[in-house]
Amino acid sequence: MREVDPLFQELRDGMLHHVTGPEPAKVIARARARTVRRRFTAGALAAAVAVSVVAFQGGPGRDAPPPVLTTSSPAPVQETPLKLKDLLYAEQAAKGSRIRWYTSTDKDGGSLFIQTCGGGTEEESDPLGVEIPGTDRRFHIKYEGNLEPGNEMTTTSRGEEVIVFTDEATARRTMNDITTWAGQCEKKSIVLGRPRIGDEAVSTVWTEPDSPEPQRTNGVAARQGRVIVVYGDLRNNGRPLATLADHEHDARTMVDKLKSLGY
Amino acid sequence: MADEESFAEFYRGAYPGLVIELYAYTGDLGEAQDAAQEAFTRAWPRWDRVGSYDQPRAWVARVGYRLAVSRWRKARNTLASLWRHGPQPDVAPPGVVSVALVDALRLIPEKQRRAVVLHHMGGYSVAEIAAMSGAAEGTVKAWLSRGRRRLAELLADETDETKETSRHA
Repeated sequence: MREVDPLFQELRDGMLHHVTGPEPAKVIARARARTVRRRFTAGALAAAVAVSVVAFQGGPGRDAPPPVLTTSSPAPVQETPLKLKDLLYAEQAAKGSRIRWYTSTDKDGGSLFIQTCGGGTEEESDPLGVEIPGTDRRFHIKYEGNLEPGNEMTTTSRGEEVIVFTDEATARRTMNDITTWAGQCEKKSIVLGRPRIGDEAVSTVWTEPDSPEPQRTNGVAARQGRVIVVYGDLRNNGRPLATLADHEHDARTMVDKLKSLGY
Repeated sequence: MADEESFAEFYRGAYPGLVIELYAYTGDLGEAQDAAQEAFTRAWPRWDRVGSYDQPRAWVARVGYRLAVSRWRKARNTLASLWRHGPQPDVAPPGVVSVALVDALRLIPEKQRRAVVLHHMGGYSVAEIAAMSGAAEGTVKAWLSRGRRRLAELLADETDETKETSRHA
């Protein structure tokens, strides 16, 4: 039996003094640029709303009576604040193994369970891998398939993401971004679909191109009002944990639930 | 300004170690650098809080490992990573033994690999790894024990194969 401790020491000692990263000032500048960009996005949205209000007020004259509608609008339904326990996988995750199930309410929740291939910048290569601008709340539940026997080739995972945005326009714009960036994947690697779920939806079936053991993902993103739900799975050679039809079914169920909660 | 200085000092001290840990964990130096840089970038806006922790290094490590394990991100960012980093940086290539160790690490289950790397390279205690992983200490001990045993077997096989090859040559 070989002693492994000295090998770790050798690896560490052999590389430690040779690893150099960017200067700290550059890391700070990157973080600051990201913050400024988020503020700018939020500010632009607020300005757009203000302009539209002024335009509306300026139209018929400020003293004019409000326009008469031919039909009365239904009274707005009060939204019930969404909680982690409202997610479809929440009960199973709570009962399941802590090793396999991962839950998070962190707004900075990591990549979405849907494949995209664009939208990055030099400072931020993955626009969906950090807090998405306009996020109000975010919930994430993930299941890891076969950890114990597995190396990466047989790893599988499946997940549910629910992102509540500050307003519907931001959610709509984010859906547009997801669809655009998914369309930037190599044509041979991705099949895009537009299932009829909620206000709008997009599905992706992606196979890593030019790989002998390709990674495969299926995912659905659906928007209901200011909420986007995402269901997806990932695998290489492992047993698939779900099909696209499963994800579409889950997205439909969650959208119905959101409607019942007033979203 | 004082914040920037304390962050810079922390970054300079902790970055190389985290890159090597993540290299051992992922087997990919570019991916390790990418995840480590992203982890520190996320630490800065929270530095008031993170910097006050007993172990800010553990916070950054937790984020770095989470980013590294996200294969969604990996698939999406292969090209972005290449143009961000350019060619591989001027890092001395690991020795033959280290390469064998990293190869063997890739063959053990992910939880065991993470525990072994955190403990043997990051210097984290069993209790700290348990807190970082959300697992019981007994579970972490089992991961460490199984992981070490399997690594030793794999490395012994490697040595036997090397001897066999050189004998035939």
